[in-house]
Amino acid sequence: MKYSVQLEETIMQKGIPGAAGSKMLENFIAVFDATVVTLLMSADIKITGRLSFGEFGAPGLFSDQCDALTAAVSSFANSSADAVLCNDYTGAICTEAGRQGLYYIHPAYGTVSRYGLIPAVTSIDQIGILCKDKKTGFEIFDIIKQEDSQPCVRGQTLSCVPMTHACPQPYYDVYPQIMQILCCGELANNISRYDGIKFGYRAKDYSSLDELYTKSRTEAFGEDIKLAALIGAMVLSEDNYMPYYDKAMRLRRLIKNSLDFSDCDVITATAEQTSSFPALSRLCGLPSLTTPSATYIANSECEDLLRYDL
Amino acid sequence: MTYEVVMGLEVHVELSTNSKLFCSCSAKFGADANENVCPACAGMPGMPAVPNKRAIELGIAAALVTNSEITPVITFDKKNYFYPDLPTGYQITQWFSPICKNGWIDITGKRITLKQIHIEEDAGKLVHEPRSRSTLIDFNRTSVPLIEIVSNPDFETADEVTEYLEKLRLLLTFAGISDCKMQEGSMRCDVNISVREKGSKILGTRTEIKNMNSLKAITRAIEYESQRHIDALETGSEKLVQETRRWDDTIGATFSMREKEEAADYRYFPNPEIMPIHIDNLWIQSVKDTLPEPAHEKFERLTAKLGLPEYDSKIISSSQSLSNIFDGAIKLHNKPKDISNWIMGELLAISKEAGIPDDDICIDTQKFACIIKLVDEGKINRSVGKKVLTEVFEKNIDPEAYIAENCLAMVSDTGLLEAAINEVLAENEKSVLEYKSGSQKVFGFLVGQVMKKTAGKADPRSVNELLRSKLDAD
Repeated sequence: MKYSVQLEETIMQKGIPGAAGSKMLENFIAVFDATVVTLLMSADIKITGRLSFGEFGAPGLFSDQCDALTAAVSSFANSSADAVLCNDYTGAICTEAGRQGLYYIHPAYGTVSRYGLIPAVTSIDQIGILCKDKKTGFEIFDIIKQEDSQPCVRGQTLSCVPMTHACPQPYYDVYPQIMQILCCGELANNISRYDGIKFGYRAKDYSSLDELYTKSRTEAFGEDIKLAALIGAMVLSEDNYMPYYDKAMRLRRLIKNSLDFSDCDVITATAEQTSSFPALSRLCGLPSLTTPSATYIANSECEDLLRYDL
Repeated sequence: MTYEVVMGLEVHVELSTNSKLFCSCSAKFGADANENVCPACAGMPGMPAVPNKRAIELGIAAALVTNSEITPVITFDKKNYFYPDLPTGYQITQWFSPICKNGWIDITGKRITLKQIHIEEDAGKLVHEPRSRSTLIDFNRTSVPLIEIVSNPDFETADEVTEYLEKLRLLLTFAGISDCKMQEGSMRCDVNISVREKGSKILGTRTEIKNMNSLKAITRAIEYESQRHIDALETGSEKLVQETRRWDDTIGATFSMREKEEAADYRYFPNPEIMPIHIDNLWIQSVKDTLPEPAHEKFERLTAKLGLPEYDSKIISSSQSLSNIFDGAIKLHNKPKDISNWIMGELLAISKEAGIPDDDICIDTQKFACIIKLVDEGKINRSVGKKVLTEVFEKNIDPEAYIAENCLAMVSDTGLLEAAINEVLAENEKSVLEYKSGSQKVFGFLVGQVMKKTAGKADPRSVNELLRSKLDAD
C-alpha cells in the first residue's frame, strides 16, 4: 500500500530503541516487533518514523493542557506521513486530533493486538489511528485489526448501525476520578519492572543497591509518572483498595451496564475532555471515531463505523 | 503447665508442565542459568501473559485428589512486591478467586482440612557469589507454575505434619501433578506454628518457619521452634513476635528474617490482562478421566482382590513407577503373585544395586512380563531369569533373542542332565562318599557343580531329582 505511517514510541520495533517517551527506556532496544508492525510491513506500508505524545504515551493524565502533545500532533499534521499508530488511553490524543483538524479512530478494546505495545493501563490500552483522512485511517485499521498468531486478548467487537444519536446521563461527574484511580493503579504496577538493573536507564553514582534503584527512578521518570506511581500505590494499598480501587471498578461496571443502546447504536459528543466522552469510551472499551468538525457528523460517519466493524 | 502446639502448613508444589505458566519457555529443572528465558518471563514490556491450559488442568487435578470444591470462575491477580528475583515487580497469583477451597486429606485418626489451593508463578533464583561479592539472578524458574496448598491450623505434632506431607506427595505424584522433589525445590513447605496452654481456645503468637528442604529438617525445625515458644512462655526469656523465621539446618535453629520493619502490603488487584476462566463440569470430568487410581484404592485392590501380602501391596501401591510396572505386567501375564514376587525380589534387588530409587525405576513392562512368563513356563530357570532381567534393566535387550543367542534356555533334557551328573559324580568321589556316610550338606555342593557344568541353565528341580535318585540308588 502506498501509505506511510509513523509509530508512537510505545509500539516496539525490533532493533530500534523503544523509548516510550521516557528517559527510563531511552537506551532500551526492542527485541521483537509488535504485531501491528509485522502487519504493516506485510502490507508493504512504509514506517517512516517515531514520535512521542508523552511519557509512556500518557499525556493529559493530570491536566487538560499538554504542550508536548499539541506540538507532536502538529508535527504530524505538517509531515508527509498519512497516519500515526498510538495508544490513546487517556483520551487526550483524540481531543487534540479534533482541535487540529485530524481524525482519530479508536477501535473497540481488544480488536488490535497489544503484543509489542509497551503497557500503560492494560485494561484500556488499545492501538488506534491518528490520521489526516478517514478513508486512509480505516484502510490501515483493516490491516492492523487482523487476527494474529501471537498471543493477545481480544474483546468483543460492537457493530454499529446509524440511528438515533443519544447519550447516557449518569455518573458524569465521576468519570475523571474513576479514570485517574484505575489508570494510576495499573500504571504504577506496569512501570514497577523498570528498576535500572536489567534494561533501561541506570543512574551513574550510587553506593548501594537501594540507592541505584532510587536514583535511577528519580532521574528517569517524569513528574506525571512519579505522581501516577504514588497515587497508584495509594489506591491499591490494603487500607485504600476497597474505598478507591474496588469502588472505581464497580462504578466502571455500573457505567458500562447503564449504557443504553436499545434505541440507538451511536453516541455523539464533543471530544473535549470536559464532555467526559473520551473517558466514557475508554472505560467501557467502546470504539469511537473523532472527526475534525461537528458539521461532518452525519450518516456517512456512522456508516463507516458499521462498514469497518470498529 | 502443659502446652499444645497448633500448626498450619503452606505447601508450594511445582506443576509438571512442559512450559511455564504464562509463556512457552521450558519449565524443566536443571538447565544452564538463564537458558529457559524469553522476553515475557524476563519481564520485558509488551508481552501479554497467556495462561497455560495444562497448568489449570493440573490445578483441577489437585482439587480432585484433595476432595476440594472447585471454583466455577477463577481469576488471576497481580501481587505487587519489589525484589530482584521478580523481573516484573509483581507476581501473578490467584488472590480473589483461587482454583479450589475446602478440601481435606485424611491421616491416621484425623482429617486435615484445607483452606484453599491457588495457582501462581514461581520467582527466579538469586545466586550469591562470595568471591566477587555479587549476586547473580537465574530467571529459569521465573514463571514456572506452582500450586500453593494452604491448610487450616489442624496439626498438633511433627509426626502429623510428616504423615500429611508424605500423603500429599503420594497423591500429587500419583496423579502426575508434580514430582514433589524436596531437594530440587519442587515441593517446599512453610510451617505456621503457635503454642498455647492445653485446653485454651485462644491461639498463641504465631511464627512462620521457612527454608526446610527435607522431612527430617521439618521435624527438627518444628521441635526446635515449639520448644522456643514454650521456653518463652514459661520463663519470659524472650518476647514472642509474629514474624517469619528461617531454619538453619547446620546450626539446628531458627532465625528471624526481619526483612522490613513494617508489614508487607502486596497491593493485590485483578490482572486486567487475563480474562476470568470458566471451569465447567465437562472440563472437570475430562480431567477426572485422566487421573490414575488413587494409592489407597490401589492398595485395596492388590490386597483384597488380588490377594497380595499387605507389605508387598504397600510398597507397590505407594510408588507410581512400581504400580505402573505391576499393572502393565499383569495385563500380559495374569499371575499377580508371581509378578509381585519378581518386583519385590529381583527387580528391587537389581535397582537397589544400581542405586535407583523406587520412583525412578524404568523398565519395559512387556519384556519384564515376558521373562516371568518364560520362567513360569519352565523355558528358563529363575536365576537365568534374573540375569536376563538385569540385562533388560541395564541395556534394554530383547529377552528372547538374548536367551537364544547365549543358549540360556533351561536344560531339562534328562539325557544331557544325566551325562552332566555322571561327570560330576566321577570328578567328586570324595563328596559322594561323604554323602553316603550321611552328610546332607554335600548334596547342595553337588547340585551346584551340576549347575556349573550346565552353565546355570539346568532345571534345578530335575537336577535335584536325578541326582538324589542316582546317589540313593548306588
